[in-house]
Amino acid sequence: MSLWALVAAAALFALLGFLGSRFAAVLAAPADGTLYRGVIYTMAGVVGLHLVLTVLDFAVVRWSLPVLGLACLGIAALGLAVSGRGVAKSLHSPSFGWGDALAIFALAVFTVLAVSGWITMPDFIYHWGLKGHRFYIARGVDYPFLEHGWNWSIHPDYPNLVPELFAVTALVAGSFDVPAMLLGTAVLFALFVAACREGLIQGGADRFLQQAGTALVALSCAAFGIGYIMAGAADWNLALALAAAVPPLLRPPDRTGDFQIAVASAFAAASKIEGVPLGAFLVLVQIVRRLWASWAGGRPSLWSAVTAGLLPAAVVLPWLGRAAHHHLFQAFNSSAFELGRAGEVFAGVGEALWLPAWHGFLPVMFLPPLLLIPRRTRAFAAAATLELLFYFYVYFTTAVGSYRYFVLSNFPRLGFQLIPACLVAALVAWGARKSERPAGTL
Amino acid sequence: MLKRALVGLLVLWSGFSLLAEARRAVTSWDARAGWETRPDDWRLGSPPAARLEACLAAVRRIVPAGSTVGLATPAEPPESALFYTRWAAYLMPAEEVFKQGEAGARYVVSWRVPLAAPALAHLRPARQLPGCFLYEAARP
Repeated sequence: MSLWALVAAAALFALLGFLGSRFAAVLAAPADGTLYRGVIYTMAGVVGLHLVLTVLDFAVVRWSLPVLGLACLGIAALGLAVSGRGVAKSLHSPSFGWGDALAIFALAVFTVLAVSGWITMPDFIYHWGLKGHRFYIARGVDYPFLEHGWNWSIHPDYPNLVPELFAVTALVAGSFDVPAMLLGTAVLFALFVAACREGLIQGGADRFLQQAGTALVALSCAAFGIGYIMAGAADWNLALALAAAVPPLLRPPDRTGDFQIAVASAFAAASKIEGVPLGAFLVLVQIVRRLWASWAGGRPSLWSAVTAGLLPAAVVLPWLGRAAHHHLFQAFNSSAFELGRAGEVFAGVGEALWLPAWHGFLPVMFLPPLLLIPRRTRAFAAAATLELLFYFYVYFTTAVGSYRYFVLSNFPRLGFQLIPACLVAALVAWGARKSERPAGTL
Repeated sequence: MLKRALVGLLVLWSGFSLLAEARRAVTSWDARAGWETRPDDWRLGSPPAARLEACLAAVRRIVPAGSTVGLATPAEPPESALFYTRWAAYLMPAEEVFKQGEAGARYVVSWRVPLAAPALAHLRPARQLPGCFLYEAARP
């Protein structure tokens, strides 16, 4: 373990957060607290980094610190161009409570264990970490490596944000230091806990529920992250993306919300294959809300569709193009819809639901259909329900040997992508004040 | 009041869950010297992974970067081969690692036991290494 590498990993996220903050004029709503602004800025910085790396790959320019430094300057300059609007002042001030203390405790416990390497997820060994190391060595996305027929098992067709972050962390640190890579997971964890806390505040939860909800998300997810050995997994990205989308989906649709949804959606789509539909669902829901609101106001506008959809499209289209060009899509990923698998699939789901590492929290992932009922959580629930349906669509269309084993091997992790945000939405629906428009929203 | 009590109980339960999982993780970390499991259950720093790492560290010193390396696990159950191969690929990121037989390899590493015919065809023994045997493809 190298202390310098750990500092480098933390510094990279701080730098990305700073770069994202250059776009504060369009990314921060008056209702957003400081912590949540930090979340959105960091995610925006990460998406910006991904776009820069994608451009470099298309231009056949090797990744290096000077090139990335120049790109950072370019991003900062672009930020200056949009900063003319001025940054909206936050209407609520941060106040520390007992739930925050418990969340920090959970984060600390998880971080120590993650950095030790002992709770590293096997998929970090099998593909995420390996890809990151290969990209670091190749100083770019190593398409010849991904193309090898024997690499079918490492999901060569997946979007590359996760290994890219590992590779850039290694570039900054000067070597591929595993604890530094795993520290990134702890950062993502901290970000999604902060996003969930904000969701509770903007959802109108009282002080007790804000603190209890923050603690609940942090403690239950840390327990799962340790018990199911999740350090280095890509599922943290999706949990973060959905949690970050909760505040703009809970408040009435607004232009800042369009940009925030765009960032969350692009972040999800760049991270993992199931993040692509998640990103699409988030954008779709936001567009429908905006159109509904603008029609109701007599001024229908498609501008929100452009705002919310452009960034995810900039992520997804190059990925689709490169993956198709290099023949990376795997035939077993899609086959005919076979309802006959239902018995095996649901047996696997039933077994997974009581997985010890979840301590009974996994059924929370099935709350989205119920959360469609309260008006306040309907937008979030629509996106989450569609994602839940997508998981099952995959189970019924992917060709594998044993569906029970297939479900058992990934269902607890898929649940993890939904559960933090679902807990927040459920607490908002169940316990928050009845006002449909929380104070401070636009 | 009832809502608060229920949410409070959930927080308590999740706190106990975290403590239980952390305790389990620390206990297994302390006992990691005895973590002798199947390769799908290996962890970073566990003895079997460390043994494979020692073998492949020696291989890396011999084979040029970018070489194609086939991994053979003749003494292991066939269903374990994929996991051994994935670990080997992770531990040799500069080389092209795959299961022996999946493609033509310049080098073959046999884990734990030497290769026997017919797997030896077109290969010549190169070196015995810690816990493994290295072979080089015979030039045509």
